[in-house]
Amino acid sequence: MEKKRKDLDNFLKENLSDFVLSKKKGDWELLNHLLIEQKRKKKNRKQLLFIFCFLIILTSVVFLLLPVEKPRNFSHKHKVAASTIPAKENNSFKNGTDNSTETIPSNKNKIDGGAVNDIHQIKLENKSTASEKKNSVIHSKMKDVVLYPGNEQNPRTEVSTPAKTEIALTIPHSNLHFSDSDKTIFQETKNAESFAPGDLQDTVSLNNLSQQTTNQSLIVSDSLNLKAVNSDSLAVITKNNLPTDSSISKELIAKTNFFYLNFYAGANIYTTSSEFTNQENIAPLTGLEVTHPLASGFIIGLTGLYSFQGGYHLGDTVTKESYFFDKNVWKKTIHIHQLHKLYFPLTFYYALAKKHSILSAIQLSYLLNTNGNSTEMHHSSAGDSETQKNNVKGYMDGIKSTTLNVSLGYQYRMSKRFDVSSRITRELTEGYTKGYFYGVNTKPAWSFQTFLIVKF
Amino acid sequence: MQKKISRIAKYLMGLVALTFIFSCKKEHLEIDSPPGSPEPLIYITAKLNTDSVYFTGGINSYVGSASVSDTLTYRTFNFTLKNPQNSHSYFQISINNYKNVQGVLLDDLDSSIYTGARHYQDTIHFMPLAATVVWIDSAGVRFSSVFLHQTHLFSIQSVEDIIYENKNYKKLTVQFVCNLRDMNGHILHLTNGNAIIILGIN
Repeated sequence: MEKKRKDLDNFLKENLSDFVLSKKKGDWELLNHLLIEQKRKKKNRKQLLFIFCFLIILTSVVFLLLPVEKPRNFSHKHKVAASTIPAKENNSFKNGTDNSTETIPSNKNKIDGGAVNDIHQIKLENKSTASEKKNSVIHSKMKDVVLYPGNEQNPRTEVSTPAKTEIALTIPHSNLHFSDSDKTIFQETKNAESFAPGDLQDTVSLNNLSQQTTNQSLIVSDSLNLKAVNSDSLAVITKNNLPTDSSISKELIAKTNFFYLNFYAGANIYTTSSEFTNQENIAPLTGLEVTHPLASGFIIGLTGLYSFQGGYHLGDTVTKESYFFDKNVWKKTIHIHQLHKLYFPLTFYYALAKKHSILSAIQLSYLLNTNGNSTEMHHSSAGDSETQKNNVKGYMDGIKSTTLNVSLGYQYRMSKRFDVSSRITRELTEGYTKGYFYGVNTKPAWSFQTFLIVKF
Repeated sequence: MQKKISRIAKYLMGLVALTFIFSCKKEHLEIDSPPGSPEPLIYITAKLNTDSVYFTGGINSYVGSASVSDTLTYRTFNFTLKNPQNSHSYFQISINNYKNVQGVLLDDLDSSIYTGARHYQDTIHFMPLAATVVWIDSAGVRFSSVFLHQTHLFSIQSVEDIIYENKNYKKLTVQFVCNLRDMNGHILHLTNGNAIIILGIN
């Protein structure tokens, strides 16, 4: 019996000789870990805030530094661009924009209505000023290159005026129809002559230009179909010109380098949790947005939204003891039911089509205030007392005042004035301190917002 | 240029508005530190013959109380530390007014309570500023320092003015050694007496 026990002892000794009792994480270690974690989170929060501030500053700088152009100039430019798109796509004519400033090409077909427009622009510019200085302005504004029809008889035109050498010619469609509008062009060109200032050089150049244009009109086959749009612009090619393109460009025309103010009204669908159960809630959202077009199809917008959200069950109880003649026990319970929140999404819009846009946003949310109830109980040897306050406003340590979110969404243009938009938002940072509220889900949450947007 | 300036001004105004929003001060919805001390404040400890006693306000249901007793023209400031549920085994310490006539309560308290050594009330006549120590034992027998010759003085080590729930009090740290006698002439020797007591006018 004793031998058996010894064997067992030996067996245990042998097998447990290498066993090292693992140390349990002590309170101090745990506390240290928690402190480090808290520090890290604080640092992360600061970094996120810094990034958001940087984005706001960057946006503001973009807003301020983008060149301001008059919408009229912009529209003219876009009209020209719109008229040239099909021609470029079809590529039936050689695009001689690169080599045309110095030489006059022999190809007579290198004619474009855009030239007419540009002539008209020169006309307008000359109308306003008659000096060389103005010509230099024209020179700077008109970046496209001149292509004159293959009129070899008129080689002087290439050195006649600086403005003339700057006129852009874009290539029209091969089967251009030239109907009655060629007369219009001629008429416009004539008008250009009449508006020309007294400066001899300018007049000469304009005469040359008008003559060339007339020649072009005569040279081009009958297939060019030109249509006068309004008194300001001479002609826009309508044939084979995609309506969507022109409409997009028109929209772009409307949205030039200005700030646009939009009013937002909508609903926010979000989840609240209490004692490990989730609950869907809906709250109104309202705010204003300032947008600014960045590039073709891209718009940036900074929005300020306010939302009064209910359905929260954030409870906290604090018990404290104090001594004087006796021991006093104070117990305070706070239940937060509603939050006043502000959202600041920095949104990038991209126009997919005339009425359809997609958006992505980085959003900072800020807790303005909370609403709730407070109950205070006092216990001492003299007796117990209880006081309750409703509609208590303030903040609690467990609710984080700022969170960072990302959004993706879609916007549909209903009319000129109204848009509808919806976006799904995901929190990047936690909204509550872990373990502060019993049973409340502190993980980053999803929410869904939908808006009616009124444009001013 | 003017446009740019106005744009910058608008933008700055927006920033100022944001600053206002973010700098709004909100009430902190947490319990404020309740009045009083986080640790027990008052206590009395002493050795009665060979037995040691120690009582603390707020522990084992012992509660302190401050009172003023006026008899004819005399005034006394009292402090009692007892368990209200058990009327036995407790101390009472009293300090006489600084004069034989009663004045304004707060003035009398200020004038009577200050640091220094005091005589015990050991005669039948009212002795201004004198101290009295009373002990009620577990059987309810009352032992008092009055009418008994004392060899030591009652010492007030420190005095501190405190306000609790808008009332004025004086917190005293005292040391005492004295003889106590009951109605039947039994004497108890109190030694190593130390206490923090509170005297007030309410």
